Amino acid sequence: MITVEALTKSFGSTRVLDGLDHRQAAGETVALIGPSGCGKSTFLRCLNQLETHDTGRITIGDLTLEGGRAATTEQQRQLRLRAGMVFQQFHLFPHRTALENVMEGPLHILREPRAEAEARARDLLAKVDLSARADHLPGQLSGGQQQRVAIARALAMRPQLLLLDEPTSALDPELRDEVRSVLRQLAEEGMTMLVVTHDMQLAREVADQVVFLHQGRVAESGTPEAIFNAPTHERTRDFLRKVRG
Amino acid sequence: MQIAGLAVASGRRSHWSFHRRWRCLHLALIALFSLPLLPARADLSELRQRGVLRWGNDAEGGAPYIYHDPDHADRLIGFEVEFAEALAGRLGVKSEFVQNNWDMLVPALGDGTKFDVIIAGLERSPENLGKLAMSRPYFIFGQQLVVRAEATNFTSLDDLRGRAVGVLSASGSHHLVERHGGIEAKVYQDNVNYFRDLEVGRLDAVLTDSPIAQVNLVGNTKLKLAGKPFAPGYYAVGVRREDPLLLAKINEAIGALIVDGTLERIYTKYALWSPEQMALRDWKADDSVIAQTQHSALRDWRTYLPLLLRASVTTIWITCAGMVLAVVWGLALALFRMYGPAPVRWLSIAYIEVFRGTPLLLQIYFIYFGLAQQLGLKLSAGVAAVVSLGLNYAATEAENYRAGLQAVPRGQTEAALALGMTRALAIRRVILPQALRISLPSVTNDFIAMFKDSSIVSVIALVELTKEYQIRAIDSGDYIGMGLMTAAIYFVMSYLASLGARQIERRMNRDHR
Ligand SMILES: Nc1ncnc2c1ncn2[C@@H]1O[C@H](COP(=O)(O)OP(=O)(O)OP(=O)(O)O)[C@@H](O)[C@H]1O
Ligand SMILES: [Mg+2]
Repeated sequence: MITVEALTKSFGSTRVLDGLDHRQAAGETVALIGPSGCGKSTFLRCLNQLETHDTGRITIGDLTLEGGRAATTEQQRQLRLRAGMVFQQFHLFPHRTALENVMEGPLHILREPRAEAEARARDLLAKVDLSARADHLPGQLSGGQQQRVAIARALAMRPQLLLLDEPTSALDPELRDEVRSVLRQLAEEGMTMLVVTHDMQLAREVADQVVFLHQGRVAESGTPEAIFNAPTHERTRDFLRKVRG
Repeated sequence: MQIAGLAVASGRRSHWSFHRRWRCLHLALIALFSLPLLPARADLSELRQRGVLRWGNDAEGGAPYIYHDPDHADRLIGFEVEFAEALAGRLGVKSEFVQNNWDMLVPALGDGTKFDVIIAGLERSPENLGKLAMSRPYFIFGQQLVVRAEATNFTSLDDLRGRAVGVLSASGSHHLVERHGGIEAKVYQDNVNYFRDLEVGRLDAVLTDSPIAQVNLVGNTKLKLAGKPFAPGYYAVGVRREDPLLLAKINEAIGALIVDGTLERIYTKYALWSPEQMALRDWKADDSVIAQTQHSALRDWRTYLPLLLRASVTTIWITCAGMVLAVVWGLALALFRMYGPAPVRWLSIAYIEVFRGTPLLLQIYFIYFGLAQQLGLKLSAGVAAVVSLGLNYAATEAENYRAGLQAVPRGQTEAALALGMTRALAIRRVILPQALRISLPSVTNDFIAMFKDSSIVSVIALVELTKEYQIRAIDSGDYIGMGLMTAAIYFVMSYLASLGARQIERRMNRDHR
């Protein structure tokens, strides 16, 4: 369903992604872990083309994008429609209520009728347990609530794949659980997700597969049990030792 | 012929007008503080001691009165220059010219510190005699109508009911047209631009002193004199009332200059001599006891307040229409500059820099006179004022918007794009609404500033509040009272505008904490 082949990306003379390969089946949730600066965010941003990759190819569903300047703006947009994005810092639209944030895409990008868009937006808010906050502005919501609205906003576009860049990192520890449980539920429902995280509890709870990224490549991958209990790669052992403290 | 080129030289006068409003207030303050404190100064004996007669006039007044010699640009010539020299000679002193804006000469004479007398085509009219002492006349003139060459049906003021007639601010012609009634008086700061506006069709006629008409029509095929000169008037030397000895000496000297043929020689040189001037010889004073006409603006508010309010309507609509243009066009400029393709971006930057980097006054002249002259695009004064203010402020608003656009965090653009928006949709739905909220306070501040800046449009014969103030202050002689009344109106307008602005800001931010 997602196939990434030999992806490279450099910023100036620094090569951040260095021949990255990744495969992920529909319905699978993958946790992407690795030391700071190893290129996790860059990889995610390439997958929905907030960064354009230099070489290699990205396939999501029926759409393949070659690197360099091969892709048109419209192709990039099509890829983004397939891969929804949830940011570490939420980036909700501050001038619109929770409900309006969720409706924004369906109404103005998919051009759904308002009634239909609103009904679905309310369903999604219910799903992330925020029905009571539908008419609140982002500024009036806690971090955990904002992140759940951001997830609902991305889901409203019916993406084939959900990309999440450290969705719990900006939250106080006691708020992380509410986001974890939403993601757990999504994983159970069969949503395809790729989640970058330093939150090992989240990785354990939601991931079918854990991928360890090192210096712009996949160093090791496997089930959470395999990676967390019996890592084979020296770097993975170092990393896990550090995050466990 | 030499005189043909002179009208052009005198055109520079208009550039001074911009500073006049400031000078009005300035003088009002000086009058307030200095008059009661200082004793009368500068009488005849002091003048003799100094050995110089300082006379006030406006070098931009134009031919044939006073103008720069086309052959020696730094030398002043004109019949009044030569008359002043002859007069000083008769008094046994030297003559010294002092520059002052023409329509502010009378208040500037003040206590005589700046100059001793006015020799500046100042009419011996009841209005002027109410404010200062005047000598016996040194020149007789008439009011002359000027019309376009093809006009056949205008020969007197009665033919001009409901028509637009150009006059010099605070001049005898101005008073005459106002008193006549039913004529739309268009008030100018100089003796050149009304002829231009007559040529391009913005005016139906010009009423002016006959010497001005004669000189400016030399070599001009587009305009002609209409009818004979009427309402004879007399130019006389303006003297302070506290200086009766000087007045007597000047009267004596003028009499001698008439008798010995000096005046005839000077006027002949400037092609101004006619047999009518012989009446100067037999002139008898009959008006030496006109009471001082000092009106109090505050006491007579029933007369003046409606006039000021009428003018403030002009200020309000010019400002509002100008701001609408500025807000809309400025937004387009900001978007071009931020998101346009390279050539559009450069053009937008160039526009913004040019309009911000040149004086508004220059832009108004360019749009009102320049376009009419070069392209035949005859904007009315009102439209030209709105367009000038709008185009100028658009550059400032564009920069306000740009600051707002840049203040929206990058994450917002990324979130919008990640959702699947095109760039255009992201700007419209996500970036712009946030940017506008950020720029709103600067934009509303500019709106309030424009109320004050709009006074600059009086240079294109549009009587808005400041111009009305100037006219009425000169008329009544009450700069302070009139100024307080005018300032109060400006304050109320600005205050209401800022209340409205705060209201809009509150509404826009209501849901954005
Ligand atoms: N726009 C950019 N310009 C230049 N260098 C960049 C840019 N974005 C990222 N980098 C560099 O690329 C490298 C990888 O960054 P990336 O954000 O992908 O790391 P990461 O794995 O997400 O790290 P973290 O766990 O700290 O979020 C880093 O060295 C970073 O400094
Ligand atoms: Mg990162």
